[in-house]
Amino acid sequence: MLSWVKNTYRRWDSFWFGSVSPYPVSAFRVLFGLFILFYFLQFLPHISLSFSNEGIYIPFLVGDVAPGPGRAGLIYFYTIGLNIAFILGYRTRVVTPIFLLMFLYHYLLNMAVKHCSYDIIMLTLLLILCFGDLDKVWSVRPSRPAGQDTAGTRILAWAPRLIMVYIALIYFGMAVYKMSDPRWWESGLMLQRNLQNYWATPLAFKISRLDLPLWFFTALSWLTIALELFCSFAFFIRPIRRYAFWGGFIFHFLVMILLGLPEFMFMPLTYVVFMDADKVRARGDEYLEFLRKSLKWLQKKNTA
Amino acid sequence: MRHDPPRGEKGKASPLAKIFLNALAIFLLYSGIAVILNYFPLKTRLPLTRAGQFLFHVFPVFSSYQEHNLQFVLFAWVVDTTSTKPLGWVRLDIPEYFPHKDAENRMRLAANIQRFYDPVKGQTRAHKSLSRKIRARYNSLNAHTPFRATRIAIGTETWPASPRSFYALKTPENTIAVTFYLEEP
Repeated sequence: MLSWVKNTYRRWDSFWFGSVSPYPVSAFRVLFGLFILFYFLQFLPHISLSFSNEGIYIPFLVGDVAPGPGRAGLIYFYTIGLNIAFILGYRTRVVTPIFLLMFLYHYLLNMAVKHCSYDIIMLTLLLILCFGDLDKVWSVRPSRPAGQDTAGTRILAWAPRLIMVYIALIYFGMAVYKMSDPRWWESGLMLQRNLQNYWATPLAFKISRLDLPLWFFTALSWLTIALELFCSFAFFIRPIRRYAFWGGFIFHFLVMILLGLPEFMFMPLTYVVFMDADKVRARGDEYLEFLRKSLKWLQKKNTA
Repeated sequence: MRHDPPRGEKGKASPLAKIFLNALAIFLLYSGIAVILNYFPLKTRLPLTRAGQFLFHVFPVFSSYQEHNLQFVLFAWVVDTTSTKPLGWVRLDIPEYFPHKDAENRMRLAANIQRFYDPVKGQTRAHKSLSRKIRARYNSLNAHTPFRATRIAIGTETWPASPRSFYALKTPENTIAVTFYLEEP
């Protein structure tokens, strides 16, 4: 019994506190940071209306604390600055927690009222990233010992592994929730009606007008449940994970074009954490090289 | 060349950091699993902190539908400061107050999170504070005119849903208008 406890503890300890390559989580930092930047930029034309005391906002937990329009603009651009620093990997140990706090401030002031899953998942991911080594590679200020080769750099496994488990849990929970409601799996009514609700795009209504039989939506509901269950474990199994990645991507893409929700497209970005470090590094270096060449070409064009 | 470290290689974390990180991982995993088990299939009643419940209230995405479509409407009771006669109830243009997607505006006006965590008073309290802000914005947008809003009403319009389009069956005879919240004079 004692040896079982010891073994379990050792396995738990090496799972969370072993070391892994920094490339997948650094790639995620860049992709996720860019996603949040675009998400935040949608408020740019309406800073005063969304986050100032002259605007229309419904706060949650924080009370009516919005400052005047000038200060609201300053806070907003400060958050954008932190977001850019996060993408560039500048002092992420300091920047990420402050960025999380600023995101939380805007969330509680004017975004929480919607009670949307994507906001909560994004905040949770940022919370996990606060305790990760995000700036070891692909960073403007790499925090590794001078002279150390990037190839030999290792980071604590905690943050990337917790992101993996968390994302798997999200897919699993969503599948279980759908299985607990007969309107999903018994009749397909939930899916059929959601393609006609206030989120539905013109394309979704086009599909609704086809008057497809209910069994089609039942089958599609089962397919969704099966895909979510599959994703929750297949992400961890190397030979089949690419099918889960493609399945997940297509699923979120359909949510975007049928329900007008690009907000969930950060979920496929999390898949990079599950990928092989070598592949991520090779692909990332290719993109960086392309970026460098493009910048040089632009510079030459400008000077010419 | 592989960059994944050999199995068993340790990362660097102080004992205190380990305690904290272990606790955070256990909290997240436990909360997620408890929320899942409380739904289905065991319908257990595992204890959950408010934070844990909040962080994992992400599973019921698109988990309801209605046979009727609903949209929120805003009205302002407008008076003309140069005369004693009021202008009456004026319908407000929602994008002037909520510049987001229609579906998002609906969730904001419904005060979804306040309604979820405080079903009795949450929404009314949110609408009370919202009305004050809408009134202030109307008066600031119309500062150059003699018209001033003195009261705000938040209402809903419902009509039968249709697979043709969201507004396909929104006709005067099909639509039921209800005043949801009326600001005190």
